[in-house]
Amino acid sequence: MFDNTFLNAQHVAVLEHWDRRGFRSRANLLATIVDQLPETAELAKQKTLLRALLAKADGLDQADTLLGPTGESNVLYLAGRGDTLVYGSETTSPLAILGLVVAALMTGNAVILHAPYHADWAEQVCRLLYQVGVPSNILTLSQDDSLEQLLATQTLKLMCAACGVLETIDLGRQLAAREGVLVPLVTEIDSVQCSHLLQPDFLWRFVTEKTRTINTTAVGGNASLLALGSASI
Amino acid sequence: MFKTSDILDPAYLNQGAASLWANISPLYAADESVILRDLMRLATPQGNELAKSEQRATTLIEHVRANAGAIHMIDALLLEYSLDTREGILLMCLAEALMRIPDADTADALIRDKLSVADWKQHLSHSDSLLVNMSTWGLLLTGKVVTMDEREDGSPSSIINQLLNRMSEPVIRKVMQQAMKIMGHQFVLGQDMPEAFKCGKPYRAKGYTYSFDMLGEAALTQSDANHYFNDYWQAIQFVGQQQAKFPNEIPASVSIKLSALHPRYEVLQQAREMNELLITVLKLVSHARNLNVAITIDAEEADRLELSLQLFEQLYRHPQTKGWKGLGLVVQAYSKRALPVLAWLAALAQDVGDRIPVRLVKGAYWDTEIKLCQQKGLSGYPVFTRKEGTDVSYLACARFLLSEHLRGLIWPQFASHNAHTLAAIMAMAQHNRFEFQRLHGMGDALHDQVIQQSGVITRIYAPVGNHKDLLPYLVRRLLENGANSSFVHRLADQRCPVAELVQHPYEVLKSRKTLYNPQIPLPSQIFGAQRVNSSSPNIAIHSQWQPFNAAVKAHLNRQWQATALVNGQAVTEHSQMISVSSPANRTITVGTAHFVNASVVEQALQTASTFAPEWQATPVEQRADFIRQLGNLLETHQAELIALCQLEAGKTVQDAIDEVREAVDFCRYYAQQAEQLCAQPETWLDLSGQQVKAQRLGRGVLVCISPWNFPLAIFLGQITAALVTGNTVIAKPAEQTSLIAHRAIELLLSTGIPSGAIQLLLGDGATVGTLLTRDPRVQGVVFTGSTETAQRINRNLSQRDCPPALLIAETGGQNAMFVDSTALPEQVVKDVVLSGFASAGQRCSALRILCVQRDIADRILDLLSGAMQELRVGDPLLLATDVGPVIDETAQQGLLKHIEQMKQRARLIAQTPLPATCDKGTFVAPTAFEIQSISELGREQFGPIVHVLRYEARELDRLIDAINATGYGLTLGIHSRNEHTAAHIEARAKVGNTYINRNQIGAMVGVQPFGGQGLSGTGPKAGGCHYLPRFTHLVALES
Repeated sequence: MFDNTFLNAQHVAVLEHWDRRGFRSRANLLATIVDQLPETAELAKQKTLLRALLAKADGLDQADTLLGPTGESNVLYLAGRGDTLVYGSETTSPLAILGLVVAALMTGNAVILHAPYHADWAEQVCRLLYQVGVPSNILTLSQDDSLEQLLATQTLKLMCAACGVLETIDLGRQLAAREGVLVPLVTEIDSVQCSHLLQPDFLWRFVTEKTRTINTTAVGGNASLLALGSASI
Repeated sequence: MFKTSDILDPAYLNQGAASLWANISPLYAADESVILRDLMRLATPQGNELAKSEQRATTLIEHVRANAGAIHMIDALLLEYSLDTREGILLMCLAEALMRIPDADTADALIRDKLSVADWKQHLSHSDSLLVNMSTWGLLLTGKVVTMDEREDGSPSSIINQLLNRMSEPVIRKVMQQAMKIMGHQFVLGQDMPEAFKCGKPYRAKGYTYSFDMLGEAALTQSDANHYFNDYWQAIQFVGQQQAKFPNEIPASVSIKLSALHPRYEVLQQAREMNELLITVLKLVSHARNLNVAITIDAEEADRLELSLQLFEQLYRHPQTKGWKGLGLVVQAYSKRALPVLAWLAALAQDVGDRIPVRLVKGAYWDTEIKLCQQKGLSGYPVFTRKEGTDVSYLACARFLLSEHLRGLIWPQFASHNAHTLAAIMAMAQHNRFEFQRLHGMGDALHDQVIQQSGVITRIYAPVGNHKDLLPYLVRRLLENGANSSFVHRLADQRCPVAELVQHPYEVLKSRKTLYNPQIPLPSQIFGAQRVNSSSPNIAIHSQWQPFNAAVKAHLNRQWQATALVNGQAVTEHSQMISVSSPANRTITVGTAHFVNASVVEQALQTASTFAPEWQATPVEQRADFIRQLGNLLETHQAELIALCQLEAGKTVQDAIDEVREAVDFCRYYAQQAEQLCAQPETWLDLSGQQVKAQRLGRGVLVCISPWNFPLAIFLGQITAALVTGNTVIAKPAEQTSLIAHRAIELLLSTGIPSGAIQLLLGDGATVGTLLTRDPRVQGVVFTGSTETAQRINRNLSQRDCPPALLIAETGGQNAMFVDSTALPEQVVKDVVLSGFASAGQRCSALRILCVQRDIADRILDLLSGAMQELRVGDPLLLATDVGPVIDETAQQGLLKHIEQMKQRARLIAQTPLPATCDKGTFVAPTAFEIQSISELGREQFGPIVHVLRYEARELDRLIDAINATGYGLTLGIHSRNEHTAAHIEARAKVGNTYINRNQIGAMVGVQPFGGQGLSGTGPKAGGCHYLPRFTHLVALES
């Protein structure tokens, strides 16, 4: 079961390293699969989708320096949420599943992929991702466990689903029944055009925000303020 | 209104001290341009003063520069490593922390942290000083050696390099510590009085005298205050004995800091100061008078000025002081109140009949003053924002002090290291009834010249104490000397033309476009064009406190009535009336609240859903305008809201002010953000390459469920975010704070916002909350509160037969603070007390687990224990109260139960005493326990309880893992001067908000977006740029 895997220190360390790599670096890595994707009828769309998603990396990498009182630095930046279950239902296409997997990986998460109705395709994609350097601790293909079992994964932080509207209701109920962390559900219900995945702020749902405030005066930061007081203007 | 032109009239002082006192406080943050225009009249050079001062200053500078021995090694070092360089800052940081670190590993890590990141090579052979160049070589080599066990990418290098590094570390550490001691020696005369007296002998032979200062910063505990008292006592004793031995020498004096003599030297504790501190200082004064050793009371932060003057007056008028001319005071010229303070002191001397020695300094806390005012949103600064503004003020004050009618009233002592200032004073003076002062280790050559040329007495302010206590003082001196722009720095820099150094500040200031510094915006303007900062009175300043207090008091006896507000109408039918009492005193009734039943909930849902399309279609500018108006109204009604927060939620004065400010900030921030977000459609390409154009629209009906701990700020933060993005809102505040919620919605409705947009439902969660969160008309819930309630809401929402709704939940935290041995213990403890016990610990962000590196834990716990004894728990209406009540009996009983359980299995470090007056309210004494493991903690305890855990430096990562494993991830505090360590902890900790080297509460809207992860919340962060988009959805526009 994934609990054992995900609770172990090695997984934690690999996930931290993956998260710290940065969005652009992960996007560059993931971009190398675009031209190697398995042949399907929607290959062109898949390539367009991945390119569009990976192009957002720079924006996500950009830490916001926030205006505030002097003597402090305040920065808002983004990080992956952690262990993410990506589920592809029977009714959906590989296109939406691929989009969610790549989005989740690019945003610094570890992915458990469960797409039993697209088993062969999922296996090919995972193999490809491993080949280009996605660590095996970061991407796990899980076709044998049931969705219920996977939803019980203790360390789960995010659930992504490519499915129909009615399934989202059921998934929402199952997630809400869990104890512990509230696991957000991110869905792509448009398996043909992936119209949600392409929206400008959709990837923000895959990440968590971190604010870092430093009292810079404790490490010499007041020197620049003092210089301002002597400015010749 | 105070006018400088009046004070040169001898009759002016005849008004008496009591009358002139009234001039001081109103100038606290007065218009800088107005004050400076006035001061410039007094500072204008008269007759040939301008030429004389320039000429004299030129001569002084030329003499100093011609003297080969005038520039100390330390000056040359500071010249090369000025604070405008990264290397200069790193050296200063190393100097600040290295000597207090008890353990070798952490000391080595700090050296590595500071020396490995700088570019020492660029400083090689820059300086004319052999010593400086040698030091640079040393730093360069050390920087290389300390990074030998790392490759460029930070990965470990060869075994040989690692070994070499390990072997060299003790040597490097010793050398660096020695270097820091040398730097310390520059500014400290001796480690004790005999040593100081001995070291001062050559200077006394030159004609100098001394004012000895006992090193040490503000006392946090009574024990520290006693220690400082003994130091001062001994110093006075010693100086008295030496005076008797050497009667022909100019008498030395002792400088004292009031903050060192009392653990709570603050305006808010005025009653204690005027009693306890007065007694303490009187003992020193009597002792000093008996030995005829003059005492000078040092100036400190601007908030303490009025208190220090009141204390001084009490001391000065005391029978024990009467007839003595030895009690003096320091006045800071950078203060806008400096001149009226001097006038008041002169009138006081005239009233009493004894001369007062007054040391005029420029002021050493300028950066702190600017920062605090911006943080607090005050109306202005208490200090001048330009250096030349301070210099003009200094000369204006000097002219007054040198005027003939002050003869016998004030003994002026001009402290400066600026050649022009000294020259200008000599040019102004028609007599020599004054003295100059300088700091030990600064301006030696300059003042040697002054003594030789003028014969004026010069006194050296000389710190005495051990190196550990030197550090904060050393940093202040390095900051003064190290900046490129400082006079001391430019004097040592031969490249700086003399003509630039002798410019009269009056001329310089006159040449500026504005008298104020345009690079330092007023506190209200720090967010530039984006929005106006929320405002606050400074409750430590009499002229601001008085009207504010009167306005709040006018509401304290009111009775408020709260009802549900549905479609703008108060609902009293179908409701149950609840009496609301104060948590501080349950016998005080504050008002009544009508809790609704299911039928009212249905009315609210109907109204909100019916109006949703219309509100969604309302232009964002209009929506934002209503929200901005609300922000302004909150400020207009600040006094009433503060009174309500105090009475209904038990908030202390400052907490209540901050509460209203945060609400105002939310209104202004979200209004601005929404306009930016929603004004224009967004575009992107779809998979076929076609452009999609979409408009951001509100989702529909949102339910906002808010907590009692921020009954106005979080309540309105949620509502305004939802409204401004085009959602209709049903607000369900915590039942404990219904009155505040009702008043806030009344104000919102008074902006003219359509009544269909906002519905207020009062009642308990089980009735109102459950009905709302199970209703399919609701498109989302915004919730702040417990993790358990968030889970219940999530389950309720999921039971509906409709697509999953939006849920933004901000829940609690097991918030930790890491403190390593590079941290400054006094700063740590101040931040622990504030983070753990402010607001009675009832903040989501409050500190729960303090993790202290074992090597410094004893000292930290001693300080913490002492500081907790000084906290005042009680009636939040009183200014002196630090910690008010917890919200209700349920909360109180839960916390008390936890305390009892912890007493059985953990070591009680300290518990603040509860006065008997707390019996009528729901109070919990601030308590600190020492625990052995994180696993001893269960769920979050939402109150004033801090758990302390010692850790070994090498266990840091395991401890981070353990904190992460709690599952909570809201706030984290880090105290470390090692920036690598701080960055490492910050990066590894799974938390939403990390605060480094400060307290971990009080996130500012738009500055520190707030929210956690894991069990602490879903995100996005409130008060951040990603918050509002979640309240909207993008709807494609027809092409």
